[in-house]
Amino acid sequence: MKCPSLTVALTGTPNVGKSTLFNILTGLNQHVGNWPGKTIERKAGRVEFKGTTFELIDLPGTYSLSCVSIEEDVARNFLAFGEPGVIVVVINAAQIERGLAFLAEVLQLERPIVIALNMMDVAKTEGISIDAKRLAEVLGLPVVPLVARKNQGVLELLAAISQAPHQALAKPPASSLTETLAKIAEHLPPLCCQMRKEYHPLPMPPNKDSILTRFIARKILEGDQRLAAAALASTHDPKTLSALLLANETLVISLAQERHVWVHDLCVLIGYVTKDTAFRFTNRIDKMATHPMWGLLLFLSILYLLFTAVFTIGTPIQEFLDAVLITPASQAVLALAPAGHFWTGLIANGLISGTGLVLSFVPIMLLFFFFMALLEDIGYMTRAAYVMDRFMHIIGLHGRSFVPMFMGFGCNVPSIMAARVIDDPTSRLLTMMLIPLVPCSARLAVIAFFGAAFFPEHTALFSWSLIALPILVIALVGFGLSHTLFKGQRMPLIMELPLFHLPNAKGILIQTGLHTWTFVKRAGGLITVFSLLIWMLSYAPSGDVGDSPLGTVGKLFNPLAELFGSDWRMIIALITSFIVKENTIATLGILTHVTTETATLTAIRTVLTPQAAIAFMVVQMLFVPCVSTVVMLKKESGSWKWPLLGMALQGFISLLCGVVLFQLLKIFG
Amino acid sequence: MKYSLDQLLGNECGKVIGFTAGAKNISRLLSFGLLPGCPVTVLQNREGFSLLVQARGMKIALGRSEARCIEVIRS
Repeated sequence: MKCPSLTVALTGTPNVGKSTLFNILTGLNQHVGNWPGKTIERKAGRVEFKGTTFELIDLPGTYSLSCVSIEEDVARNFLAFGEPGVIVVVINAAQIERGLAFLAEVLQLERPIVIALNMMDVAKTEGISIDAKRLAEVLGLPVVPLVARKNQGVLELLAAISQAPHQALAKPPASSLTETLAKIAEHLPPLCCQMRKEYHPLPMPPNKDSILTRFIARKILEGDQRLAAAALASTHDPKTLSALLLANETLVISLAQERHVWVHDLCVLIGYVTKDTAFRFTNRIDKMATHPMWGLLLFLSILYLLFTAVFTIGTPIQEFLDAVLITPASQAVLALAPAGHFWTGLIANGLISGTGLVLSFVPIMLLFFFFMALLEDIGYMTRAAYVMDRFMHIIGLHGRSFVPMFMGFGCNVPSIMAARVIDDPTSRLLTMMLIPLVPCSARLAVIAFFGAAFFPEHTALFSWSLIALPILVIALVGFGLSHTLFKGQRMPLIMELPLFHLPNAKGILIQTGLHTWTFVKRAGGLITVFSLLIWMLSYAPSGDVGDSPLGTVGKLFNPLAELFGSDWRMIIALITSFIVKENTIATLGILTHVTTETATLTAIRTVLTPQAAIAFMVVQMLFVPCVSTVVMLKKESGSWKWPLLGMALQGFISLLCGVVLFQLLKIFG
Repeated sequence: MKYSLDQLLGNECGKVIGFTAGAKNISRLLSFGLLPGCPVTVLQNREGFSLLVQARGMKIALGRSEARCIEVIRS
């Protein structure tokens, strides 16, 4: 028999440990998809509890339900229109007032609510005590104290969730502005109908209708621009509504004040005394982490350690996999038939070296995603954003754009998605345009490979100078774009710096695993297919690369390649890197008819001079982003204009830099 | 006396009393609880850098232009 199921929405302000709680509850039993019609990640997971299946939805963290960013939009709309069976509001016990202010908004929806009072341990260390029982009595809601990180209170939370649908609904905070809200609400049924269709296919019960229209009216008065625009577009009488909204513009402050008065009264009732928390531990670290000079030094050191760790741990594993798995496998296949045989060549050089390549990049990806998740989890990322804020101003952005760009060092694709945290559309677009210039770990791996081939004694120096170049280019391009195509008012910087805390191993590992798996799924198939294709295009018709279709195309561009000291084979390697960046090495292997990385190294050394290798690396570093990045950029920007512009720009910049550098190196030796 | 938040120095405390006329992004500031009556402590205010303030038990990084919109009195 199938268990009855209950949809449970997990919501809360950022940094309350909501995702940790979600990971603890669902473990690996979660699936990451997209919200219908949106590129916003939808995280859902299943939990069985006493014969009921909970379908848990982890909503993006939101500072309020009157939204600024599109992520917040999704969270609010699901809470309002997705008909969740139970809403779990996660509150940080160390910042209870803020959590209660958010709860005041959720209460307006009049749905079954459970409060998860998380981080009780942090509150205790800060000397804050909260009477959860009293809070539950006063609110008329179940309140479950938790330390999600330590798995404390989780079962009690599940029990409370399963009971919640059968309990009486709590009353929303009263308001003196009910009349005004009702007047605006009269204009909103068409908008509500429309939004509901998006999230829930069933028709809306009539009593719900009035709750939702009043809720939306409130959000519009609180300054939600997108809802206001949608309401004006859907009402029959936009003139009256527009006049009504204009006349009540100043109510935005009154509504917030009402909410905080409610919170204040509540705190008095439960005997909670507001006091300025010291955050001793966090403040001690922050003295350095947010200092203009020390903070920057700290950030650069972390960056240095991160790359060093990733490559000193990752590269040997990569080489080990190559030596024990890929090389023997392809040699075994090649030994089955005489040299130059089509099928063995296809399998050994196309299939095995292609999939082997994906496999060998996994350790580097895994390490990178792991360190990123760790830095995020302990609360350091926003500090880096704060310290880098000043430099981001040079390129017309601010600190909030920094985190997504920094993630680009791992993989550009998720980092373009991560740009959704940026509220202002122009800043978001500019950030997305610059991310493909951030050298991702795939490009860095190619660099490391070339470094080892040409400058075995100075690999680190070579790699570091090649990382510095794209950063310089980002600064120049960002400066240029923000003064031309992306001119205008910028979104403000208002960003919370969460408390530092010890990392949650389970959460970090799940995060790392999911990210890596997504990468393997996306890139794995593509690399293999294209490796096969490239091999065939380089083999037909006679088995000689020079006569093959690929060779012919490459030779067309030979004069261009000569300008930066390369030949047609390097052009083909560049073209195939459009599919995935790691292809560069695989292609060179195929084109030089060798199967192992070591042999490819030797082969490339005979094709390029050291100067040409440097120039080629510069071109490869800045060249047109990979196809996944281009597709993601199209999806997130909603138009082909931006990815095409980006490709043209990067193609031009990369070739220009390569040619100029090669000619300079030639002159100065 | 009325100041804008960016005029307070590091370690100075104040209380929000309002917003400058025509200020944008008020709703964002409000959702952080930065509304009239709210006490704020400026933790860091260095020329050319964004401010670091503490309010409602949160540490908040605030751009200079946003801080300029917030009217405060010293306390």
